[in-house]
Amino acid sequence: MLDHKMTCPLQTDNTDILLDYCSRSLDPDRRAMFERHMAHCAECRDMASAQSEIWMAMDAFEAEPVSADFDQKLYARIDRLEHVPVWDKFWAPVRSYLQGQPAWKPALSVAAASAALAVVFFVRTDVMAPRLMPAINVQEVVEAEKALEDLDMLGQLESESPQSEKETI
Amino acid sequence: MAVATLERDAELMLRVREGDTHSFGLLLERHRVPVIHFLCRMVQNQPVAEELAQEVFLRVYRSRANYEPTAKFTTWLFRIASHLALNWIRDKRHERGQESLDAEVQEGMSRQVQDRGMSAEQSLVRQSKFEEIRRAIDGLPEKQRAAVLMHKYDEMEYSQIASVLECSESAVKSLLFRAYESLRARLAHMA
Ligand SMILES: [Zn+2]
Repeated sequence: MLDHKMTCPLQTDNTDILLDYCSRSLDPDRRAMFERHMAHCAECRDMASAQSEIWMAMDAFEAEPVSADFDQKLYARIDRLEHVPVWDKFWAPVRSYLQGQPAWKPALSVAAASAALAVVFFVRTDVMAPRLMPAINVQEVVEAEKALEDLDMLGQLESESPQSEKETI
Repeated sequence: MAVATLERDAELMLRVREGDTHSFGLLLERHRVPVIHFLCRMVQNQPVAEELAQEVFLRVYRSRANYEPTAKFTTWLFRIASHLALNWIRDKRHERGQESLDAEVQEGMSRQVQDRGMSAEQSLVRQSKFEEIRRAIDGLPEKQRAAVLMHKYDEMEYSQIASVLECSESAVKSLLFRAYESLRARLAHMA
């Protein structure tokens, strides 16, 4: 903990106090303590002054307004996603199965995707006219793979998330 | 999992899982701008940023059926966004080389600063400040850039940035300190 004679943050690994001071996110006690330290530490004083300048200057990097048709485009893509999945009949049971098999999920999902693809190609070439299966392609299998990867990302977050974060859920 | 108060986003996402598309609209409303702005500052190209943001929300939607509120929603969202941005930057760099990436970046951001009732001189000063900051941020290594953007513009805690970037909290503090150090050096003349 910091006391009146706090160790210079630049000499230790506590440089976050300097960043927090400049972003005005320090609590009042720590802020007061750091200000007392700066009163006799020129290095911290200079650093804080330079960092505060940068912090304010960065406000000039404004982002552009979002395109008016952003949502419309997104919903159109979602709509396309919702209305093509004939192959999903093959995929859905596999997906339910995979939910209970996290350790095997990546390998099995690749296998399942390949199997679904194989079935689709088989059906397409041997039974149905190509025009009846226009939207089925590798892309859809890739999309399903991405969805699984994203869920894996969420799963990883659960296993590695620090305590402080779990409290905010 | 002991969840005393489920965060609002997780609550909405659970409703999306149950088929409530209105809740997806609310999530989009809450996060569209921060995600796009983060991506825009990250890839420094507005059309690309919006395209990547479409992909982010599409992925969230696609994952709805199996969603569980295991981590903070925004952490998950920004992790997807960061992955996409970092991949885009690396792919582009491999594809075209740094020089043409810079040219593309500049073109993509050229509409950025526009007159909002300012004098020509004010507008010019603003444009030049913007350009300097943009270049300085663009000059940071990707991970430092992502950390700085989340810290400065999204006001994220160190722990959350650490989760997004899949590193420790102390690594984030060190990333940030080095990043701001570079920015201070590059932009010292602006002070
Ligand atoms: Zn000091």
